[in-house]
Amino acid sequence: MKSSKLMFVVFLGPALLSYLIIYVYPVLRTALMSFFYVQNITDNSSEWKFVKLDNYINLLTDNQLFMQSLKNIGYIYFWGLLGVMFFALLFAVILNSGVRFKEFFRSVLYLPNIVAAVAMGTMWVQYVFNSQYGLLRSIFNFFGLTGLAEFAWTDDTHLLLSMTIAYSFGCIGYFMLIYMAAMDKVPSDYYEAATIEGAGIFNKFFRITLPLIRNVFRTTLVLWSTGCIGFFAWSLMFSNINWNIRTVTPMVYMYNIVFQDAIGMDPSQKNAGAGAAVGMILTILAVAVFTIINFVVKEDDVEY
Amino acid sequence: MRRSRFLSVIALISMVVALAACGSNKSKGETASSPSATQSATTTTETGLKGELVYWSMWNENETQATVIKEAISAFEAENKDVKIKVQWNGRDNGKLIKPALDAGQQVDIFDSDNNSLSGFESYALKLDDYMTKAYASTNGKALKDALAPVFYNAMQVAATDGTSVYGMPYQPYMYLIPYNKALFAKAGITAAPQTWAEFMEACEKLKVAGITPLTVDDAYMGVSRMYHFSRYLGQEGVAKLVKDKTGAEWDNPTVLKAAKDIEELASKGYISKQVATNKFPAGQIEFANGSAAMYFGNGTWLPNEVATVVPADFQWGEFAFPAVDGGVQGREAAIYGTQCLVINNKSNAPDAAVAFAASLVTGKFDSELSKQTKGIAMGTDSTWAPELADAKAVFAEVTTQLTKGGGWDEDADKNAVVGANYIKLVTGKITAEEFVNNCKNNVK
Repeated sequence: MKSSKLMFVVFLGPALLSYLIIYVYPVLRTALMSFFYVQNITDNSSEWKFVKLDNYINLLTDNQLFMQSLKNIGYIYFWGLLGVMFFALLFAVILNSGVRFKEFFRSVLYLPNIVAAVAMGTMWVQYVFNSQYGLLRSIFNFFGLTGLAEFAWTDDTHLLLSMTIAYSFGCIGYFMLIYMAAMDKVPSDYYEAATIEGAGIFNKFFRITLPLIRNVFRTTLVLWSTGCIGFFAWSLMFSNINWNIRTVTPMVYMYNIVFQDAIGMDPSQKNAGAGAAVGMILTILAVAVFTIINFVVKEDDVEY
Repeated sequence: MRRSRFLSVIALISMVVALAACGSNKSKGETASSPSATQSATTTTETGLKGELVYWSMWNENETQATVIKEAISAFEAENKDVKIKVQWNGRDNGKLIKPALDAGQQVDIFDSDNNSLSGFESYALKLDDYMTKAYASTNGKALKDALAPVFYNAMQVAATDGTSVYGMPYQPYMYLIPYNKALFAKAGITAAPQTWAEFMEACEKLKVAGITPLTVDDAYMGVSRMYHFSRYLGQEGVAKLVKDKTGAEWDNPTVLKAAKDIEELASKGYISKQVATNKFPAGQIEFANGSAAMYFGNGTWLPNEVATVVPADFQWGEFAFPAVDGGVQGREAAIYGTQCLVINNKSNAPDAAVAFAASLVTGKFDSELSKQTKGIAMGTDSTWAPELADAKAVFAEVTTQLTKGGGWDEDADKNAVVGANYIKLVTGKITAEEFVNNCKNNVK
């Protein structure tokens, strides 16, 4: 069939138009806004005050809080990644090794993902980490580990650690599912051949599974990165009502300077322009991270 | 090919129909509002109030406030047959949603704001000065202005850019103070609520001796005592200087160290609950509500409502103003308080009806009802306060100065957060007053 130009217009037009209006326009407007002082996010562009690079300079040179927010997502990114990838791979290997009730365990591990972050956050903060009747306290006390039971999960010093653990816990099932799907696709002949040759489980994992699911690592790294850069709901759950320097992330910082509705904040200090600058910095950060990931984890010819 | 052309024609037709449908919706909206435009001409006639009002509310539909507001609307509609009020329950996001809606010209006749945000809405708000001199059904023949407690009426004036105009009808006010458990105070032999820092320390000691934890607080309200204590010593302007200090010299002021020493002493003498270090809101409120701690170190007057389902029925509520300090710039007459307020859109087609409804909510029967149901503060001079806040009424009576939302710390939100992080350590006894001052000095400048 010959292609019809009218067909292109009719079927592509609405999608393209919505893309331009809903995605490209806000991005361009945000980029522009980041060079202005804008008090309210909905202010007419005639009320904007051009401040050159001031928003960026203030954020990157004289702003302990924003710098801390970057450090915080750096912490979550690194330690969370190590923990999540280790456990996700471990569970994926175990479940793929032919254990009974595979479907049941898979569902249980994935379960945290179908619960809203707000509900999960509340559960962790108010129950699991509670210093009076918390789950961890009870478990450690049961085993006689009083030192661990007394551990102050939600105090100022350990809050970031607790938040990283709580967030990562929910992610394990999600990444495990991705790894399991990838492992399922690796032809079983390889394993059979390896078994005949006398390879053990470790050899099979490191020499067959890992190399053949390398591409999936890239996907999971990208997903993990977007999750960390956009880290928001969990931070609010761990420091509700007010922001806290231990749990602040760039998104939370942006939210606060754009809306300023926490306790003790002066609404007249809202600065949507600075918020836009935070958004642009995060965009640049995301692009940089993806470039590095693409560079480090090369695309493979073999893919299952 | 023929088939694809046929398909594209179908697609085109369906798009056109869809667009036309959107268009007709819009015109429906416009025609719907145009009759009320003609109505507005007759609104002020003696035949009574007319109009269709849309109220954007900061309450959620299942909150107690909403229940009372719904009753007030039914009562108002029953008395004014030609007035219909539609409510959009936006919850706390109302503050973020309202401005875009107003800018887009959506019909919103009445909306909620608070005194801190009011000045930002002045260009949208109806000036109420003239309305304030009129009497309404619920004001007992008084001018509306006189039916409202002066402290709240003033708060509206202070909130205006010119400092005299009134752009909002105040209701559901709050104040930060120290709520306490009267039964535990009595058990420790304390007969009167402390008024000065020395008396406060004495009360803490008596409680401790009696085996009662004197103070608790949550992470969320950790800043309240800091806002009060430092502004008592330095005044709000003095505190503002601290956060804006680029040299660090302001932090060398011995009074700053003295204020920090007071807090350090609270921690070192064991007056602050051990739980405070790990308290995540509302764990501290629960601790206070179930009688494990005698005082909450700075909370809003909304506390009785928030813990209503947790406190025992015979809980004896008490409140006192944050104590005055020796040689302080400001005393108990200065308080952080504010109110929600009903703002009337200056583009409303039925402003008189909107004002009359707002007046019926902030004075008279429904004001008392709102106070009773929400265990909150009543707005009208003739209204009854919730019994839980009887002491708070006395605190309010003393207040003459309104501090800003952050008692001066709010001059710089970023630095405020940095100081706050160090303050948590001070309150929980992890650092000394000297370390607190040094950390802040180095971090803020």
